[in-house]
Amino acid sequence: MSYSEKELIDRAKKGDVEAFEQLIEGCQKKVFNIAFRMLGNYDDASELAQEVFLKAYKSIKNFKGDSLFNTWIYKVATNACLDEIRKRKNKKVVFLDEDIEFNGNEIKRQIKDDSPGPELTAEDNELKRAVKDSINMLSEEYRTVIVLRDIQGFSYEEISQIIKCPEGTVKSRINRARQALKKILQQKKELIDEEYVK
Amino acid sequence: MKNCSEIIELMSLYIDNELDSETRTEFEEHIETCESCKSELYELKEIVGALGSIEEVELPSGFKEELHQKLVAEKNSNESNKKTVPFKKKFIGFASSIAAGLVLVFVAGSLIINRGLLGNAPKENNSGLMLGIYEDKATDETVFYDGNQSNQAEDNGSPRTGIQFNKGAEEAANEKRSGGSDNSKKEGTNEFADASSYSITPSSKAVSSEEPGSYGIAAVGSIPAYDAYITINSKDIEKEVDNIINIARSCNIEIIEDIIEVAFSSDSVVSSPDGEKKVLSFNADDTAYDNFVSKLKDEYGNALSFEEKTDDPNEPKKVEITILKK
Repeated sequence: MSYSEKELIDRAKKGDVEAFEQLIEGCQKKVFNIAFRMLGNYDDASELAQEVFLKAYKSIKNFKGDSLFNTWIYKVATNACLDEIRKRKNKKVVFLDEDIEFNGNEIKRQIKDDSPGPELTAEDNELKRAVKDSINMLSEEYRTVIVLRDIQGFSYEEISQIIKCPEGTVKSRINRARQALKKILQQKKELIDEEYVK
Repeated sequence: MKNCSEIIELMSLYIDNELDSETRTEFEEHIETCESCKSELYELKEIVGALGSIEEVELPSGFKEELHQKLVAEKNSNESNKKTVPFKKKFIGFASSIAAGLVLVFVAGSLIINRGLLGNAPKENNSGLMLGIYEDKATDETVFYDGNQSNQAEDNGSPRTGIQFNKGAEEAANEKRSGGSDNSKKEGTNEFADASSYSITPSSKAVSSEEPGSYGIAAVGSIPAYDAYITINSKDIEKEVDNIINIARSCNIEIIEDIIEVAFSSDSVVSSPDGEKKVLSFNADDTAYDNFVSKLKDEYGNALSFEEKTDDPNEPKKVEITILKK
């Protein structure tokens, strides 16, 4: 027995859990991956992804059908990630202030814990590793478009719907984001080179 | 002919195959002859390639099951809220203020007013002392504060809700016995100040023609009277969001940071030039909502605007609040 998306949505709006689960079947993995690449942490991503779906279930009555259902979910997911990133930005500042009396190792540890431990696979070449590392040093705006475009493969049009920006803005932001990433990689390389020289 | 800075602007589009053929030709011509742009392009292509080769990660094990539990829990909590639907909305609003215990003050106050300073103690009161505020539309049995029929003259016109304080028969009997005017006045005011000696029970006498059946005064888990969304446009979104959340908490409202475009009519959604926008949502009953709104007005004044939409009288009212702060 298969239902059309419209029927599933109607049922889900009335609270039907099974219908909702069928609706999200096709986008669960993507949502999790968006969260993972945005937050850089596997467990955080899992928690956030769960929250995203719960939020969506609660507010599906507000889904007007003016975009694809999946697009709507990705929008919720992206916004949730951005919120989380901003929240952490604030947290980080507090940590530093609080730990200023402690020895330097403590501070280093705090910062290190916040920064992501990307899962590196043995096959990753040097560039790929560096790129994975660098994503989380991008601003949240740039990080979003890089994740959505270059990692998840969404089209310009889809991205413009997800982040609620005109397509022109999306295009120029992607350009600048890639250039920013390149700069970060260059700086990384310079640091490494310096180390070698010593 | 394009110059280098223009070419750099086009790099991403070229890599993504988004240039029209004419522009693409110009682009490639430039790249051919310009070393710096050529290497720039090469590096960007490498990076995009590396990004594109990043694999998708599998869902954590147990993810779907865990989510399923949460969804079911949410569904169940929604359904238990809905069980109080039989209560009419206007009654709920009234009932919540009753639950706050204000009634006792009201009763004590009106008792004094009614009885006068010396207290017109009912000399004969065969029903025990019934303090009641009754729906008096229908029946002649409606009785006001001190059970004395003669006081019924007050007014039969205005409907009141039915809440009856039944003193235990014993207590009532004792009071009758002790009754001289001074004593009963003293006793009267004192006892009614003591909440614990009363139980609030539905009164079968307080049935009006409008409201069939009896009601309890449980304002627990009432349907939210309002289903509202706040759209914030501001340069400093985080500050406004925190501000609003705090104001809401002070009214016992919990805000859900739900960033979804929800406008009933999308032209009513205003964007600030920076494009910074956030949507919060919350549910509240009448009193909490009114309280919250007046605080918001104090806080934001002209920056605030409302759009109310009420589809269905059996469902919560939908309101969209917009805050536009430069």
